[in-house]
Amino acid sequence: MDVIAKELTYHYNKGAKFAVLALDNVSISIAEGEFFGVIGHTGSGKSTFIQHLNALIPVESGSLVIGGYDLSIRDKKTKKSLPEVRKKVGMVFQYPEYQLFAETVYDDVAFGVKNFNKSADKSIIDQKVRKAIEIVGLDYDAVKDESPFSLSGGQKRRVAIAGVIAVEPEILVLDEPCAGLDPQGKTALWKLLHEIHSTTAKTVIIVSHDMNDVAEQCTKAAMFDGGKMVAVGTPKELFSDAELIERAGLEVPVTCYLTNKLKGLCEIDSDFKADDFARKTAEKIRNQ
Amino acid sequence: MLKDVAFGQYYPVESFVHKMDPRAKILYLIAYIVLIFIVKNFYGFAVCLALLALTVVFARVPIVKVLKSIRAILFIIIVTFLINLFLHREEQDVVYFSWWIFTVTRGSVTFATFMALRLITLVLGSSILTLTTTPVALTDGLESLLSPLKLVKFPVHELALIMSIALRFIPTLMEETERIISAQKARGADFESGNIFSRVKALIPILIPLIISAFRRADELGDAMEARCYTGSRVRTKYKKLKFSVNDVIALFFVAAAFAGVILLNVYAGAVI
Repeated sequence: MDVIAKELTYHYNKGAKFAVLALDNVSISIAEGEFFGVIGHTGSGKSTFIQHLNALIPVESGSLVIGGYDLSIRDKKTKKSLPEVRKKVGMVFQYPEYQLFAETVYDDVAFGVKNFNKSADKSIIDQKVRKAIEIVGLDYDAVKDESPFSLSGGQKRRVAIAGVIAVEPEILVLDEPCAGLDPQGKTALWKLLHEIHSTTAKTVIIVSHDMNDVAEQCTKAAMFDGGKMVAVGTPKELFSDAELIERAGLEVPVTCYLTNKLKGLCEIDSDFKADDFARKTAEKIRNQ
Repeated sequence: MLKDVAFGQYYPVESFVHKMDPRAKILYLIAYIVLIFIVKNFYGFAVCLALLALTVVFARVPIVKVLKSIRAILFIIIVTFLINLFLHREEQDVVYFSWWIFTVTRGSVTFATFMALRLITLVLGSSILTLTTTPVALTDGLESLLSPLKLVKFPVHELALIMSIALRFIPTLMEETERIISAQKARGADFESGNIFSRVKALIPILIPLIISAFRRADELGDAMEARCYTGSRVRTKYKKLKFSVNDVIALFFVAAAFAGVILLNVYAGAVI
């Protein structure tokens, strides 16, 4: 499923005195199979954009087509297809552990599965829940009857993510998935997201304002500033223009910073991933 | 969605009434309420309404905003009006209409109108207070007015603190609620269909995270207050001290005039109830 947005515009409190332009003519297409980054500082419109993907925010003007679903048409048929869209586009909010509510981990993870598969057998639900909990790296038999509130912060987040991937969405959208995690938790989560990307979800879209993560993890990224999409491309293309990144109020990744510092001493043409940067720098030094 | 719910409907403009001391405003409101309850004829109500109109003009609040407050209790007003209209009885009365236990008489029409007017003026008056006073000023004023109760060991300061914290966190919790609703909707939660039982049940995934987050916030706030050495009322001084001003004296003059007018009218213009 591809995501194609054309001239998407959205105001908060439209019509009121305090209307805020949150998205301004955003045109973007995200092909199936990408590990896509949406970057921008706070208030740049990135969260508003991703909430459109899940039909949580209705299209105000412009068009948005996800797979075969045109979300910009507002009729009964589209309204009926909303659950299908939400099933296919999984959405993990910021601090997803704050949405846990059930008595057991099993019930919480099964919540989405049951909502989207109303007539499914218990055995099928069981199977999906088990699979999701195992994908996020938890021991199904050990945690399934635990209260989600008795788990550690990192585990809670894993349970919350399991609740979304148990539905087996084709597109997985995550808003700042690493916020508030320690370095170890972060590394583990990225590994997990790549695993999900290669198994259940074909497309992964993440919102981040850590450019190091974007350079390291994403195949492509779009940068938002003041409701507009100001740039889109591979991390290599994006971070080649350090000035553009800084104008949008963001910090370039460390590798990009070092490349610029080394300019004049030696030119390094890496894709800004730490491994690639290190290898190419070492090569240059050896050659000189 | 939820943000549209007008809360703490403070209307931020600079005006004569906005600049008044919150304590004065609270006391005058109490006086005004007493006034509404001692009024005995419609002339008295005219005086109350005149005082109200004058306050609205001096508060520079759009009249629509003030009238909106009636909407919240419109149902109550209509129900009380109808009950009074059909069931109120007086001796020796002109009967307009009678069926089964329902009678409409001249006395009941007057009485029902009177009671409805009383409710409306009551709400209008109170809404002017909340429109022109920030919640913080309001709790400050209440704390100051209740401070004599400290003599009997009543925890006035703590009560005021609880009130201001509650008011402060209402918008935060509303935002949180919206976020949780979105998150659960994304997981396929359906809040709009089904019978009443399934709808109530559908609220559980919203309420539990909300309550948990409220407790978490309470914990964090408690820690933050302790980290700033907050110990409560005894040693705390205030940055913004409440002070009565000339505005309050001028307003007092009008309130007193209205009082005098109503009492005189009660005596000389006769009573309708």
